[in-house]
Amino acid sequence: MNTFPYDSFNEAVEAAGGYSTWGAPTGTNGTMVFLALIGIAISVFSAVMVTLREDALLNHAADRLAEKYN
Amino acid sequence: MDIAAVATDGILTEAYYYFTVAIMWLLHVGFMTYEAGVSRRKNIMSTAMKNIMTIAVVTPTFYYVGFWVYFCMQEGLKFTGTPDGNGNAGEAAYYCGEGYVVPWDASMSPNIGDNLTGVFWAAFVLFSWTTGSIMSGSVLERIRISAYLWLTALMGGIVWVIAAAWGWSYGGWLTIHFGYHDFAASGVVHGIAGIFALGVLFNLGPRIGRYDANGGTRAFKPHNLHLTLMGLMIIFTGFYAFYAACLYIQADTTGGYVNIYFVPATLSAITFTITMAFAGGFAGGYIFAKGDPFWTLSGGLAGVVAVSAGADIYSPSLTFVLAFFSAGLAYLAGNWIEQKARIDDAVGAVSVHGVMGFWGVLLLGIFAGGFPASGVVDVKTSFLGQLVGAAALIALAFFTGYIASWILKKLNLLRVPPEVELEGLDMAEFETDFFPEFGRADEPIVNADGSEEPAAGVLQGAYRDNR
Repeated sequence: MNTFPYDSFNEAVEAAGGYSTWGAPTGTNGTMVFLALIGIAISVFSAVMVTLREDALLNHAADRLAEKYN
Repeated sequence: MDIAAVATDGILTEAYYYFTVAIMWLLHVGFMTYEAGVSRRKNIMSTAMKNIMTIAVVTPTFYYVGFWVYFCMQEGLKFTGTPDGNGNAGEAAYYCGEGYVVPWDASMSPNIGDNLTGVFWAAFVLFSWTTGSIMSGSVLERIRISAYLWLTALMGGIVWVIAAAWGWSYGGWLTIHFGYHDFAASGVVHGIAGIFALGVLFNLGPRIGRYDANGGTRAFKPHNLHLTLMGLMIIFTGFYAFYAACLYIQADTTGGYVNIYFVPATLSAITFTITMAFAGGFAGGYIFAKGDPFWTLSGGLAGVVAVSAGADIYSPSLTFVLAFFSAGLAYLAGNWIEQKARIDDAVGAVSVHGVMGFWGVLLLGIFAGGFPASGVVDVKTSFLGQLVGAAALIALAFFTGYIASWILKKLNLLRVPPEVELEGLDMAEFETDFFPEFGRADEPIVNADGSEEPAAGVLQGAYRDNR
């Protein structure tokens, strides 16, 4: 029934101290650092873009409404 | 304990946290519903969007920075990472260097050798969202969504985490030196969020028309109070999971659970506490607010917040009494903040979370002084320890909230333009009416003397007076 090599897999994981995606099991590895930096960059970029887009929308609306409220 | 039992313990803890996380989502469903209901019709979607986007900004901030801060900054405003309080250099490297919970470490990856870090992280993330959602209600109807997101990323991703590192960990300096005890986060979640919001409100200012020229306070009517009350009830449901997530299964040494300070506790005890606190809080809210629906339900929340610090050790009857009177205090404090201090806190969060949070921290020192505060070092709870903790956390929360919002204000990025506020944020932010089949009825406003009139003229007059 079982086709997955549980025994050898578990032995390999135990020998390595665990596993993590795309690289060495523990400690720093370049790919994971790179992915983390991309994630951080996207987070900051998104926040800046939300800020700029909202600023433009609000200024546009304020200009449009100025006559009504002044 | 044999290896198989330890493994089962780990899997049980993993499942336990996973389901507390799932149920804690209800907190955020509730916050969104609650705040949308409080808003006027013209601001509903902008209000809800804040709650949704809280998840988008706080989660990565906590993943990339916050969790590391929790383990690394337990000895104060320094990166030492010695959570046993013994200055162990090896642990410092592990918690502050290339080791545990650094975003590229195996602990923050799918690792079949680690069942716990992911679910433990997620429980903290849900607490982080909660701090943001608490602030969200205070500032609604005039803050820019983007400003709120920067502020909530700061508070939810970093500031409250520093507070938790100091006073909500077994190695925090408040814990090991002062015996600070805050089981379900009266101070480190509710208090921090409420006081941070207070710092923001000083710079944000009140909604146009909130106060009249004679010093009187006007009231805006929620567009759907029933929705608000339902949101609060959903929040209360999520609170049970919040409480449960403050425990840790440690069956191998205690036969049950420990709190975050590694002192034995039980799920049964906190179930007594939270349920009796809701009952006492509802009763107190109803009595002190003379049947006001909003403050009756907010009284329940205030009661729970006030007893959360000692929820693992209070007797149910003590909980009931404390919650009853705390609800009354929250009502009085809320009115004082709104009417005397003239701080426009749209949902009373500064009172219910900020004041009640630190009030609860002090109550613990009065009613549970002398209790073992840590399972790691020999230190007892005390009123002085709670006082020191409250003072440190209030300063941390207020000044970070004030300074961050002051910077946004100077950049003209904190508040929406007044014309947009008068017209409603939704039409400016989304350029569409989300209720096209329903016309916009005249918005009412309640004057300081209790009389009602159409808001349009009042708001326009207030706008012109303030220009």
